[in-house]
This record gives sequence, C-alpha cells and structure tokens, in this order.
Amino acid sequence: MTSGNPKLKKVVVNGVDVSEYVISFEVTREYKKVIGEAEIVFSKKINNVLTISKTEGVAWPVTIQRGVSSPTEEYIFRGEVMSIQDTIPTYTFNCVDKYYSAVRHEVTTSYDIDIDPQNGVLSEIFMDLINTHTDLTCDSTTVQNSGTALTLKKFICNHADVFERCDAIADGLNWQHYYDPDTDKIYLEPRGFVTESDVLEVGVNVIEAPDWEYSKDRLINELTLRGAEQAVETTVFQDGDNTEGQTVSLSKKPVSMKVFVGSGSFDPTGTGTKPSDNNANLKSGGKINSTSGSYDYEYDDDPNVKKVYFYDSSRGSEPSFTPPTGTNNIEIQYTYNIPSPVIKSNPASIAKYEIHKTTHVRTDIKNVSDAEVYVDKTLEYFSEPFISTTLKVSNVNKLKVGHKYRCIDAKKDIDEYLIATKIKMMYPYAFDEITVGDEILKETEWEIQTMDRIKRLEELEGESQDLLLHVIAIDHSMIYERRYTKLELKNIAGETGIYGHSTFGVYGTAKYGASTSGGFVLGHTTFGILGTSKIGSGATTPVTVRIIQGDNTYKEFLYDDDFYDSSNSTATWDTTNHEITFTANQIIQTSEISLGIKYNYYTVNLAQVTGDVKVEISGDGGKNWEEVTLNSRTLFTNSDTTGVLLKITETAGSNAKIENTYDKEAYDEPAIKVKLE
Amino acid sequence: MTGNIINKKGKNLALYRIYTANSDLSSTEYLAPTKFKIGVNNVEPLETDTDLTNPIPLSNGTINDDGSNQLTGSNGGDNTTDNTTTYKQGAGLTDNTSQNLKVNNTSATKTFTISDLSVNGTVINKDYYVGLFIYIKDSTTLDYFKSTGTAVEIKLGSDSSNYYSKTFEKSDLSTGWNWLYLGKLSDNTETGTVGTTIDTFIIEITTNNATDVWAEGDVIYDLLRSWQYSDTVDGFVSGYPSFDYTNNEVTIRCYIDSVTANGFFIDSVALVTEDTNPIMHSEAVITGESKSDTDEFAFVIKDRVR
Repeated sequence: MTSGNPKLKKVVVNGVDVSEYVISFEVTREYKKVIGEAEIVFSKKINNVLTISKTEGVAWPVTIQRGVSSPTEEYIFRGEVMSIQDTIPTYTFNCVDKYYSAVRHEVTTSYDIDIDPQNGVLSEIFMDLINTHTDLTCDSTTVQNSGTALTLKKFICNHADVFERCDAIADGLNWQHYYDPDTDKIYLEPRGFVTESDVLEVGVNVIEAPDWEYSKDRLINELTLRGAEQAVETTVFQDGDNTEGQTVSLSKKPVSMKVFVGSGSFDPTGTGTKPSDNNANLKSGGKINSTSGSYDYEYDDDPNVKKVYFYDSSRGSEPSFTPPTGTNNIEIQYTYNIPSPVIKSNPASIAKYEIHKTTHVRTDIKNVSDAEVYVDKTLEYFSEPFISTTLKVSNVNKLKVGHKYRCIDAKKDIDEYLIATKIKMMYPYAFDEITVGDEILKETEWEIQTMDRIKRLEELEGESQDLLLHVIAIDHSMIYERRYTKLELKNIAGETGIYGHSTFGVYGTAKYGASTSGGFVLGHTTFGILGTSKIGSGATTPVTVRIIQGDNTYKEFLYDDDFYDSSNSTATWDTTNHEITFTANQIIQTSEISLGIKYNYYTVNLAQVTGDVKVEISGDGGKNWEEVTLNSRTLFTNSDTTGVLLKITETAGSNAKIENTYDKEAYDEPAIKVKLE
Repeated sequence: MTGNIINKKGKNLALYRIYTANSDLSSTEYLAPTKFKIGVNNVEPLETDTDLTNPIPLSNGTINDDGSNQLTGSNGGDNTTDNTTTYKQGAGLTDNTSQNLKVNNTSATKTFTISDLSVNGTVINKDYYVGLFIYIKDSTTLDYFKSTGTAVEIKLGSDSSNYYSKTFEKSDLSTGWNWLYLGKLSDNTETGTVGTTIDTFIIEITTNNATDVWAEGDVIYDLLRSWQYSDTVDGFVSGYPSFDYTNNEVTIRCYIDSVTANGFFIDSVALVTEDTNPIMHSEAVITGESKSDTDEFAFVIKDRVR
C-alpha cells in the first residue's frame, strides 16, 4: 500500500459494492482469538442495492479494502456475515474472516507417521488439513516447516472441526496461525517469526504517548522444580496376633503393594524364610465403598496415614481377613516414588519486586543437571514483569498480529522488540490501534515448553481408545434403461404349409411351398414331386410396424446405426468415434425413431455441436418437415402414426460435428436426444 | 397412453443380480427375465406396475365355449342365433361361429344363459383366468347400454344363484370387439356359495330402457376361454438375449407365430421372470396392432446400461 493514511475504502457484500452506505467499520484481529472479526455499520439505504431481511444476509461474503490513493490497495478483511442487527436507523453486520470456514468443515482421518506422506511432521499435517479438508489454501511460503525433530506418531481427527485440529497443532508447536486477507492464505509460523521493518516510534508514527503496563501476574523469582520421580521398592514384616483391628504402618506413601500373610514363624533376616515363599499366602486387596465382594486388606495412601488395614468390625465387614498369630508372618512389599527437586531464586528480582515463589512439576526431567537448566531459563524469562501497551499508529502499512515490531518510546526509555497481540483497523480512518507486549515473545523463546506441549498432544491422542471409523462415500451412478422396443410384423398370406395352422395346414388341401412357384401338396402329381417341388416360406419379410423409444425419448449415442438412414444421408455417421461429421452442406437423416404412435410434442437436444447445423423434424413419416428450436418443447405442426424422423443439415458451408458428452463420474449425454410426448 | 420402461422391480432384480455373490443367488427369487407376455387395453406404464393391465393368453388354454353354442334368452333376451360372418379367431378354433345376442323389449335386463357348459364345452376351473369377447356394432348400439352403473355382467357359477361375477360399465366398452377379462375367476365377487362344478355361464346386459333393442347381429358374443398363468408367457427366441459388451446393450427377441394370440388387438409386451411369484421386469405399451392367423409378430427389445 502507498505510504500515507489509508482513508479510502471499498466494502463489498454478496458481490455488491456497498461502500457508499458504510457509516463505520472496525476490523479486529487478536492473538488469542485467531479468527478475525469485523463490525460494519451501514445506513438503512443499503436496501437500495441489497435487500436485508431476516432470511437474507447471514453467510453473505464480505470484503473490505482500503488504501491511500486507491480504495483497493489492500484487503484488510475477507469473510462472511455472522449476524445482522437491525438498529434504527442502521444495520450492524458482525462478520468473521474466512478462517471461520475451517470451523464449518469436519474431518475424520488419522495421520500415521509410518503411513501418511506427512511423516508425522506437524506443519505438513496442518497444510493437508487446510488444503484438503477446507476451501482455504496455504503453501510452503505461508506454513513454516516444523521440522522432523518435532513429529507425532499419530494425529487423530475424529469428526473434529478442521479449525480445532489446526489449533491443536499450533498450540503443540507454540506457534501462531491466522488468515491473511491480503494474500488470502492461511499462515502457520512461530510467534514473532517476522520482524517487521516498520519501527513504531512515539512522536513519529505513534500519535499519542501510550500508557505502558507492567504485569507481575506471571512473575517468578524463586522456583522449585520437582522432576521425574523414581520408583523404589521395599518390604515390611510384622507379627500377626489373630485379633481384629490389626494394621501395619508404612514409612513411605505406597504407590503399589503386595501383601502376604502366612501361619507360624518366619525368619526373613536369618534363615531367609518369608511368607512370600508360598504364593498361596498372597492376599487380595480392595477399597472400602469401592470394591465389591470380599477382600483381605486395604491400604490408605494418604501421605499422612500410610497404613494397611485388616479386618476391623468398627470399619465394616470388609476387609474381612484377620492375620493369625505368628512371627514376621505379615509381609508387605510396596513401591514408593523418590522425587528429585531443585530450588533456585533470583535475588535481584526479589529485591525489586518482592518474592514470587512457585513450584513446577516436570516428569520428563529425569536428572538434576537438566532440572537446573530448566530452572535457570525459567527465572531468566519470568523474573522481570511483562510489558505491554496499545499504540495509536498512523501511516504504517499492513500491521500483522504475531509479528515483531521495534517499539520506541524515548521519553519512557523503552526501545524493545515486542509482538503485536491485537490490531484494530477502523473507518473513518484516524489511526490504527496495535497492542504490543513481550509476554508471548518470552514464551516463544522458552523452548522447553514446546516439547512438553508435543508430548501432551501425543498423550491426548493416545488416550483416545475409540476406533476411528473412516466413512468414505463413493457414489456410482448407473443408468439402466430401456433403449427401444419395436414390433415386426410378417404377413404370411401367400405362404402355405404351416403345420397345425387352421387354414394353411389342412392335410390334402393346404399348399406347401412358395406361392410364386406353385404350392406343394403332399401326394400331388404336379406339386408334390420329391426333389423338384419347393417347400417353405415365400418372399415376404418382417416389416417394422411399431417403434417406441424407452420412456418415449430417443437417445442416440452413435454406438450403432439402428436409426441411421444411409439412403438419405451424406454426412458421416461414425460409430467408431461416436460422432456425426459434416462437410459443407451435408445432411444426416434418421430412419423412423418412432412408428405407429402419434405424438403431439417434441423436444430436441444436441449434446455437443461444433459448427453450424439446422435441425428439422417430421412427425408424419417425412411428408412434412419443420425446423426445430433446440431445447424447446414444441407442438408438432403435422403428426400422425407414420413415424417421426430427424434431419440435420450443415449450414455454414464448412465442417461441423455432433457428438456425445462424457462425464466420467456419471453418465453420458447423447449426441441427439428427442423427447416425444 | 404409450410408454416403454423398466419397472422398479426390474431394476431391483438387476441390482440384486449384480451385487449378490453367485453362491448366494436365490433359485426362486429375483431371477433374470426369461419370458415375455402380451396384453391388450394397457394403460400408461408406471414404474410401480407389477403386471400388464390385461394380459392375454399366448397358448390356447381351455375353450369353455367356442361360441358356436346357443345361449338361452330370458328377461329381455331371446335365444341366441349363429353368426358365421362376424366371429373371433383364436385359441386354435375352427368353428368360425359366434352368437347373436338377440333382444326384446320386455325388460331392460337382457339375460343369456348356458346352464351346462359341459354339454358342448368345458366347465371352468375357478383358479383359472377367464375372458370372452363381446362385439358391439356401432355407437348407436353402444348407447343402448346403461349409461351409468353396470351395463354388462358376466356370471360363472354352479347355477344362477351361486356364481362368481364381474361387472362392466359402458365406459369400459367400445364399438367393435371388446375383450372382457375377469382375471382369476375366484378373485371376483361371489354371490351365494359356488359349488365345485362351475358350468353355468350367464351374460346379462342392462340397457337404459326396456325398449332399447338392437337388430340381430348388432351385439355378438364369442369364445369363452380360461387359462393358467403358464399360458400367458413364452420364452425368447433361441439365441437371445444377445449381449453387446462394447455398448453395454442387450437385445431380446420375442416371437409370436401365426397360430398364437390371434383375435387380439395387442398393445403391450412385458418381460417377466420365472420366480415363484413372477416379477414383471419391464413393459412397453404401444398403439395396438391386431393379430390374426396371417400374422407373425416379433418384439425386439433393447436395454442398456451406461
């Protein structure tokens, strides 16, 4: 866009330029919301060009452009109307940008690292989701490569909306994704990926001194990290005394346990005998009010209790086992976790901002040195407050959420690279508002969190136990139809010798043989000479007396010449290439496409014509011809039962061709179609 | 109205046969069409049709009365007389005789009876299909027939009080020969209780007035016949169906020789299966063509898939 203030605008709704009816608009894009929004206020006079009603308007496409010297220099919004408020004397259109269509599209598929071409690469999966499952587009210039270090073994989309899945990927990568109306594409990139060249400077293009906000909400200057815990197993022995209410206290909080109880004396530290030597001594555990049926013991893993209970009538009928009297006859094997905590602080931050203490748990950190690296980095990024403000900016092109801008406020000694978290573009134009801050920037640079997110994404995918049912609809269209029926009539008058016939089969009377050469009368001295007199039918041949097309519609695909009148045709009826070809002034004529039936109306269609032809039809067997208006139901001028014929003549003194059309998914349209009624 | 379609059941069976494994194909249902039947007075075909409107016998069936035997007149009807000029061919008959339904002015109900078909013909099986011909000379004669309500009633039973009957209105009739088709006899209205021997045949014509009388020969009856389903169907010509796998078309040829289906104005042909309950696969209704003993008919039927 030309440098300057973009005061010119063009707003198009449902393909109609409604710019002159715009009272105001506000286009907002916010980091956390992803889908951009626009609110446009129109004068009611918009009804002059666009009818607004309860049923008209919602889901209409909307575009907003603006510019300095031309109103179409830059698209700042492309999307659709979500709702219309009728507020006298105006309409307010609430719109969402085109990324919203990804919410409306559903996807059911899974991306397997070893099967699908995306190979588990998150950015590739993202691109496929957008390009294959929505009508939006993105490419390798708008979607950054997330690389092969961060991959997912399986990414499941189970009747999910595409936007949610894209959001999950972006969140896992800790990246941003958005729709850019100017390029009309979807973007996926690290936060702050692009550092814009425009410098936002108070007093230069920032028209007001901003109020800077310093937030201590997420300040940390003393951090305890509890890393991965290690499991340790231990065993406790105790004497049983055959009374109710026996318990065994544990020194650690148990994670799991086995309890063996035997009879008599055991010597685990001396002779080595233990109740667990006999598997029959293994007892069954349970939980009061949870376990149904009978069980022998329960344990309380409350860190303040850490106790195993046997039968105690004051607690209920279960557990129901009482250890008998014995020495070391109660053996409890249990497992507990050992944590590896690290604690560190930032004294300078504590002195400045007072202590801000917290504990993080990172199960993926398994040793102290990794824990120390994590703590150091966390304190580095979070021991200072986050800074943010909203700037009123003019004469700056293409402000983008998620992009980095150098922000200078000399009076407040601020010269920082900050990320734009919210942008508001307005009309009438006075300035654009851009909210900037460093919180997201610091999160982005805090890489360790990304691995955690990927791991969580995988864990969430892994939790799904549902089978993924892919329903792939493949439809075949097949037309099974009657092509035509015809009735052939053969008149046998003049023939003789039909055995069993009441007239032509009377013994001693009927004549056998062709009438033209005399008959054959069995036993006759003249007409019964073996080897000389002829027996059999005469010269009559069947005559077609009725022809009716399937569904009264003639469909000529030029597969054969059943209806080709070669005597009256000069053009070529080509059953190999399924076309009729004409040179200058040539004619093609059909034989009767209908016979014995009087029709009143006809409609003629030609599927595909190259060149110029005249089509004529006769409804009375060729006695009268009338010129056809294609694709129009027409009353026959003359019709009777002597037959319907079609004649096509080339009229431009050049070549012409009539052929079928072919639709690979469905069925063909015939070169010639005549519907008769 | 004319038409030429594959019926819904025909499409059902095609679908069934395409997608059912060979070993799972039924031997009694949804078989391929292998027979044809013909009919008269067919209405415009609809996809939902399951039979022709009036199928006619291809084979002779049973001649219950060949039309050469007198019917006894009563009420406004007189005893019938022979007519050797205007008669119906068909069913392999050679009598060449029909009966003039003579009338008098004593009653608007003109009754004609054969009380024992077995004397000169054959008794009727109630499970058979039944039909006969009535000839009406011209519109003047037709106008004598009762304008509304029952104009003709055909009764077949064990006597005049116990019979199956079917009524026809004037709108069902036309000048010239009329084929009165009763369908399966036992499906018709039963009056009383019909005995096992169905030998009584009554034609009852009701005119508008008792004084409505016509000249001898203006109304004629011929050929009472009955048949079974198997008499209405025949196979295709040998070598058919013929398949064109290049253009995905099939051709079927149905032949009716000069001794078959004579005396009818044939206007419909259907392809049917040999299921336990036969299915009509398709039907074509054309402008009728009369069939006599000098005619051979061949229906050529082409279907395609695309």
